[in-house]
Amino acid sequence: MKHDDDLGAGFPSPVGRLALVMLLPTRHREELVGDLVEEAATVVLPRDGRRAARRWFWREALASASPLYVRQTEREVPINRWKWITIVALLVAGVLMALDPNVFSATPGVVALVVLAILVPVAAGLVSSNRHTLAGAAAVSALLLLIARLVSGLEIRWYGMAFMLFIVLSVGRYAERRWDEA
Amino acid sequence: MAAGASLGDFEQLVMLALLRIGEGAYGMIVRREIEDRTGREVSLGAIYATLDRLESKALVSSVIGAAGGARRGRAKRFFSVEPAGLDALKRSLAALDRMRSGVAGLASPLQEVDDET
Repeated sequence: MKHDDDLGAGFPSPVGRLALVMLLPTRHREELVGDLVEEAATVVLPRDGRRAARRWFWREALASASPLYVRQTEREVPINRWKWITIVALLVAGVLMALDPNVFSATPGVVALVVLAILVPVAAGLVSSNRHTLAGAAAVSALLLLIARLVSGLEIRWYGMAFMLFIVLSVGRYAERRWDEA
Repeated sequence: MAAGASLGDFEQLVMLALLRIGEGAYGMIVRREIEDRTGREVSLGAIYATLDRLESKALVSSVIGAAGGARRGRAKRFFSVEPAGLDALKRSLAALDRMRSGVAGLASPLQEVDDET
């Protein structure tokens, strides 16, 4: 049976590369993807053909994600206390906000703004431990909540939480760094 | 850290694979070595996660190599066992041998070879 002798030009495609960036953590991603491409091209492709090789590549990439994320968690838990404080604080803020009847009575657009204001810093906290990124996400969150408040004219009680978080993050990380330097 | 480091089952397999391969050991080759020798299927992510853990304990070290054509420009990361890693592996294997010694039906590999010949 004759097989194609190549995985295809530019494999994985730009969309595929984006999917890999989203699927796999940064650490060791390039080496791992390089290994998979090499094995798909030199071992699986000659044996099973292009379609099977591509399928094998994506199955292996998917299977590789969970151990790498578990390892990433092992590495980061002891050192990124502010990241976890951020996530917990924002989740608490989100729950409190969800319980606020003023938010429920707002228009869908305002509700979407409020939800986005919660998701932005949570997502930033999950993907980054950089102080500036977290503070920036908190500032964006605060801005979104402020817009929601101005547009709706409703009292949204918890938008101050993001400003508080901004201060906690900045002071906390600064203090931590000074402590480390001392 | 390395002085008292103990190794898990899979960490031992990865270290042994690195020692068997010698120079030029990288993720894909390590996985193939383990699969060929043990028949155990492992994901490449598990290999890299374990190598990363061993490296953080200073039991193995790594260097980035050149990017090859078959890899579409992505570099290889070559791993090697550090002296502390070799000591930790010897301790782990010796502990296993001591535990196995005298247990009926779990003779050492050398005894098995003797029995077969």
